[in-house]
Amino acid sequence: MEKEDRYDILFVGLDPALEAIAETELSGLSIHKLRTGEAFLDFLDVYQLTPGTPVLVSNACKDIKHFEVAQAVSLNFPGTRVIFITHERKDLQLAQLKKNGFAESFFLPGDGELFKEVLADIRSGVSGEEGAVRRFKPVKLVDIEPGMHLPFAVHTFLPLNRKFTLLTASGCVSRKKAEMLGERLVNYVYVERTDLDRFYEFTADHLLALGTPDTEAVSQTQKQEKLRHAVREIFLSVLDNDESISIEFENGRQLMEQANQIIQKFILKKTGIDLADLLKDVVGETSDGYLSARAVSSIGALIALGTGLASPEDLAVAGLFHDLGVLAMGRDVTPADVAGLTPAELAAYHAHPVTSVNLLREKKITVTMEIAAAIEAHHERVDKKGFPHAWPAHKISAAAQVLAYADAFEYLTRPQKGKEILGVEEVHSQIVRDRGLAPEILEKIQIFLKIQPGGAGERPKAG
Amino acid sequence: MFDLNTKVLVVDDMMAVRRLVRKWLTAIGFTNIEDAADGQLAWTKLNEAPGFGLIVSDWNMPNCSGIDLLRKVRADSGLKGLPFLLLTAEGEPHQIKEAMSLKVDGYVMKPFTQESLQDQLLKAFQKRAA
Repeated sequence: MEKEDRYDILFVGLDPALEAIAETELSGLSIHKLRTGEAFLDFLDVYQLTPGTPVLVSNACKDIKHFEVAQAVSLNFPGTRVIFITHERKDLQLAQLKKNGFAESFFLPGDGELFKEVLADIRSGVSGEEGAVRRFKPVKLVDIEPGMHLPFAVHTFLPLNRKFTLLTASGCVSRKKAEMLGERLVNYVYVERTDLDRFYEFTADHLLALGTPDTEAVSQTQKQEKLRHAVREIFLSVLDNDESISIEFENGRQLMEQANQIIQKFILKKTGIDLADLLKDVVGETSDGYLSARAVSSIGALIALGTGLASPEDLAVAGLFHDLGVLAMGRDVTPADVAGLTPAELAAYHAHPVTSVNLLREKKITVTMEIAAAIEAHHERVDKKGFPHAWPAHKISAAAQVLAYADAFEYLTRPQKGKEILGVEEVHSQIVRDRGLAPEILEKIQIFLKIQPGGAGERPKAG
Repeated sequence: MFDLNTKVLVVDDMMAVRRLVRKWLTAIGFTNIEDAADGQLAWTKLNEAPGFGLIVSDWNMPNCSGIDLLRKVRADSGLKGLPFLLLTAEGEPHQIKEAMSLKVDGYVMKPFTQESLQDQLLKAFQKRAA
């Protein structure tokens, strides 16, 4: 039997002091308190929670761990907002908390004010959109110089007291402010949600300016190096696990979205192609493959831009459509799924690069020969063990190999509950090992990403 | 479709997850379900109480992990044919290869739903029937 009592919030394992703090801030809400693991497990058997219901969890239950509570809540009630509160700093193991399903965490009394703000958000029925924590978005500014005009205000986050403070208002950047915004002093900065579009425009314009040839050779070399640096910063930010931005666990996709938006504006300004419209028309915004296609498109374009191996425009378009053939199978197929495919599904999967190109033709989407060739060969390998054709190395273009790299990179860095966040070295070494790409292509990407030859990060434990 | 009279062993170190998997297996129609809190306890159960027809095991557990349990099962002449499903967050190619080399019947990626569990079970049984 399942009940649908309308609890506004669930407490699991809060000690009396935490309960008192939370209850004061949440007065008027319907609270259900579970103080033992047994009561919690019984609750799971009987009740339903609606998506979005906040669940406050601490570790006062003797008979169940807070990690287990979070996993069970996430599995039983997808979409709930599981928040961890603790008096012990040692309990703030952010990667573990995230892996087990927690969305946010607070250390009291240190985070008392911020925690009260979150409770006030909950109490006012605001889903978080207007709350202080979610008013700001982490972004990575690239190559800020004195005299530049910033069309948005920049804030920084003080991790110790978890507060945002204004670094510079919009307008001309002074030398002192430029130094402050330089990467040596500030890694991530924050802009208000309402300013995000101006940030994307600004960054795309800046990349375009850096990519525009100059007459002076010295200036051109400097610009190319600045461009590579800027692109690398944007690229690496999609998998950054910096503690200063981990106040919002879900921000993996947000940082990817940041790269998507910058690339989308860059391509629009450079070629007039609106990637978002193109993808919506062909794939559909609600399709399972939509987010993944956008990410592969952006990652491919960034690698092309940073390495010069292929045209960023070609990669941006090829990335959008490389897996149309998989979408046509009616299900997402990741490397983890391949073992479970039926023989017919496996044959369809092995044909998907060709199917993708054919579907583009059927849908009357005109793409260049280079783009079609990149899509068709993105699972080929230089050792002739790839599919669909087992082509030799000379038939696999650099664009196809950059697309293959981007495809693998997106899969390995895709945020997923329970999946460990990998470092760039680890991701690179897995791609080197598994995708059968040409050493000269991998070397250029390695140089672009500033990965030490043969270097691989420590393998984190996955759950 | 699979035989709902199959005796199932659910292995996970988290009681809440074990209960949930049992609940979902019951909802699918299985009636004979037992559980164990890690691979070592599961191995004992498999040897002491024969008749299991399916193992649904977490990957990452203390004492004896899901992949260690799979290795033991596949190496045992009496048990090596048992269908084995892994509940896992291990989506990395080399780990998948490792499980594939041990003839795992399917993966259920965390976080999962009753539908994805049922889907993988169906696929595993269909593959064996083919």
